[in-house]
Amino acid sequence: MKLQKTARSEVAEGLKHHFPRLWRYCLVLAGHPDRADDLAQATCLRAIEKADLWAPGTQLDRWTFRIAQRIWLNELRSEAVRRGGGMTTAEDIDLPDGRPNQEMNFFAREVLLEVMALPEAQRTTVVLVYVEGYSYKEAAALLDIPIGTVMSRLAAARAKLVCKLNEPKSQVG
Amino acid sequence: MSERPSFTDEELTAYLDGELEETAAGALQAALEQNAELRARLDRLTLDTSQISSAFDALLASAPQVPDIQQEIATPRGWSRRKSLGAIAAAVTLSLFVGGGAAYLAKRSDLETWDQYVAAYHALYVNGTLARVEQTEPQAAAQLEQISTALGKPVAYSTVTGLDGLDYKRAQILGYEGRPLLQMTFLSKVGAPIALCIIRSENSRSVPLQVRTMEGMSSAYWAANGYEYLLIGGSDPDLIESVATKLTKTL
Repeated sequence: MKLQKTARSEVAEGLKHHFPRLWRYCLVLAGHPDRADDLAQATCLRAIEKADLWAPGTQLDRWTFRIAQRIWLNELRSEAVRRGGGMTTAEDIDLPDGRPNQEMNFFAREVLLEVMALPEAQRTTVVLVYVEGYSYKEAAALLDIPIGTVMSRLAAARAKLVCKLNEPKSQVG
Repeated sequence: MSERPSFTDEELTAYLDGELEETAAGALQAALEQNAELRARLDRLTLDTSQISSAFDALLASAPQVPDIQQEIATPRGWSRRKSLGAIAAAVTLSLFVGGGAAYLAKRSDLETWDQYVAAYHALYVNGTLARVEQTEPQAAAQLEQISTALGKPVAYSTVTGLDGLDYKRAQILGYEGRPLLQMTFLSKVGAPIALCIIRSENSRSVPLQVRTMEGMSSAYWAANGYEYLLIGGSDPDLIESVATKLTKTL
């Protein structure tokens, strides 16, 4: 009982530290800030509930990413509305306002939108590897897919992103 | 001269990411020196991934406050905590599902009223959407009570389970222009997903039962006592009409 309590408070404490990253991963999964908020919250509660399944000393962030992913996929599967994963409403994602360097902000925003416009499977892999710094092997383990699938998702994402980010913008509006 | 080895885009990507094992990386490097076409392919995959990480790092500042988890834990009332978890899970289910449909609905410029939205949304339902919803009776009853009470329009569990030809599945709260919308779903005997939706009326007028076809599905609309109702799904107008007629009396 006491052990459980310790695990819980440790998980709760850890969650506080990496909540922004957990939320970001939820956003990448869910594609919309509101849904990301709900998913992140549900993930926190689930993590607390299952705290005794977490092995202290292992990486809590990965464990919670996995929980977030499971909640997301299970909800989606049970609803059976997943259509190729391309349902992101990237327009809704906003970078914080008031950044000093407008030009950089614009480009960062464009990068963000293009990544978020990728199919869900590709963008989660991109974020795990290029943003969270996971190795292929770690990403494959977290996503429960073979390494080859990680590679093909990244290759497809790269091809698309290179195209999109290099194409001249004919209309800016 | 041996045939030069061919490399897949996956291998080129792994090379760029420093994930290609040494021997293969060496072979690729050698091939790149010889092969302009391969270099061009590599170029088409070359991306400054630090731009991705900095763009996403900028997002961290937009993260909401950490949910008050400690308080959740501190609440010793198991049932109430469970309940709040359930509510959150329901909210997540809802927002994910609505979110999925939202992109589709956003493209529909012809949708003007809540019932049209519901119809277009319901058209996305397939048999499988509801077939796997499994709740025990007490769970389903508690869910309905909780959600319908939140809407201010309590619906008795016996009302939705006592409908001939419809097998009650679940209730959830959706939203239309900031107004909560109670959606209860059923499967008909032939496996068609059917939804009963209730929303608080904006003008409180009464409208007698109207059976019509929306989005290719049978539907019935009526309004009474400050609420509007839509029963929709399947292609059996007689079933919809008879169920709706019963509901006009029981709701």
